[in-house]
Amino acid sequence: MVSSQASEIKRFEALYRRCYQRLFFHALSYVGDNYIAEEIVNTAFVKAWERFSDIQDESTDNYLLVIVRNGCIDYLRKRIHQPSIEEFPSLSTFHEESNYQEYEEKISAIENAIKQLSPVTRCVLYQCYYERKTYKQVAEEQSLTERSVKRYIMKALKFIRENLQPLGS
Amino acid sequence: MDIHSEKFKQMLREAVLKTESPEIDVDAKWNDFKAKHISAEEIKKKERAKSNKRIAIWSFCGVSAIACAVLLFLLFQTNKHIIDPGNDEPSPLADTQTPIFEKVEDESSHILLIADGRQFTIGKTCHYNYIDSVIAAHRLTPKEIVIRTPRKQSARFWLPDGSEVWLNAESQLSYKTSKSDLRSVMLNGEAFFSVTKGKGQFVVETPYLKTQVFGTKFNVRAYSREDAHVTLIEGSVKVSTPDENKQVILAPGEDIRLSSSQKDFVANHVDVDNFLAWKDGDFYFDDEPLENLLMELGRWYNITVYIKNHHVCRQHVHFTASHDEDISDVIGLLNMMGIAKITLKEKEIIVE
Repeated sequence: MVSSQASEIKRFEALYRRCYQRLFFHALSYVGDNYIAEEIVNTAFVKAWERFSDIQDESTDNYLLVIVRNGCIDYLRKRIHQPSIEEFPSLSTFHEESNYQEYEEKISAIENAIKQLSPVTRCVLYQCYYERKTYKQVAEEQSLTERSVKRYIMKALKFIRENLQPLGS
Repeated sequence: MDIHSEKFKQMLREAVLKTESPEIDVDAKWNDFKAKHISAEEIKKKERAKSNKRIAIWSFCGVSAIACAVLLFLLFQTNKHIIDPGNDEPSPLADTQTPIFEKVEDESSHILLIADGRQFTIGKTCHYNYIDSVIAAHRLTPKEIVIRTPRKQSARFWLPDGSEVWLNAESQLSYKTSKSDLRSVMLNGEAFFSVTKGKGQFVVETPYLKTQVFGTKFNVRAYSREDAHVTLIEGSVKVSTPDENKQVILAPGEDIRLSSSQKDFVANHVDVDNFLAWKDGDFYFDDEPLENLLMELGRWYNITVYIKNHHVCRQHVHFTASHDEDISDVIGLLNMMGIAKITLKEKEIIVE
């Protein structure tokens, strides 16, 4: 009994280490707050642990992904006081695709492409896509023209798209 | 995948967030999780919802090193301040025709990154590995990195050890890139530090003061001898004069200044948020001499300040405004206080 629990803990630890960062940044990209994201991910792992012996190891990562997304939806709903899911179109599209491995592959490919971009481009991408600043705001803060900002974004998207082609659509 | 779809945009959002953020210490997270949820006791206890949140917050902060806050009292004298360093009692208002703060003719509006003499312009907010990537992109091997802010602009960036720095206007921070010197910086002006728990102490040196910490959040203000102080947010910090003759250990929530005789430290308990208002883009002066406020305005708006009524400028005021506001609005607000009459001309203000 003791040894099987020890090996179970080891397996769960492996799962935890494999998925933690991805799940954290996934949550953070929706909720925008480090503490909230951490809480959502933590809760997901607690639930996963509680049910760990019942669920097959292979699909626990999918389970975690769904729990984390639900956690994000709950949080966003409470904050924006909207009952319907149509408010967050990107969240609803994701429900079709709950396979952790596939998601991991796709997003890793995007990350690898980003890492090859120049520092200025990455900075501009971060400010526009994550901080949701307008081209004008980014231009002011980074001492660029709006046109340059737009060009950086266009070039980045082109590069990323080219790098994603091998994976298919 | 269609790059114009919402789905792709969201994935790009997440991807760029991850690449431009510091790595997470998963070891720490796992140890924490294991201790709280996998021990035999915890499996029985299910009532941890509330404390989990608190602990999650504290352990997350632990990663970013909530250790100590130290107040540093730094003095920074620039040739733009007309202050006679020889005087025992600082009196910058000796001559009504001499301004207490002068605007700069050559108004640089760029934040500079200087690597061994080569200058680069950087933006206000640099994400995590921006400095590293600039160096890599230009294939530099600098021995020293300097970040310098002009008037009117503050900057935020990360140091090689993962510590975060907010640099106020008209300030400069420099560090050497050799491995042994990574956690030692030189500061002129004002900065807020969020120091990671790294190898060895993190040292902030200024012309007048030295701080040594292990991992803390603290604010150092050192524009002038009178207006220099250090505010501690968390943990404890050792503050000393450069020769380490005088030393003080600060507790959280304390702010330390040099006494007017400048021979001793004076510590006060304060509401730390007030001292950090500049980080959020606000001016905040609580019970401070009007003069300090005027100098800060000079710094942010790059204007010259002439004092005709010295008496008034020694009065203490409480004032707050946003950095974004027009100087004329700020002057209007000040005039409403009814303490002094402040006139704004082209690039100068006159106080009487």
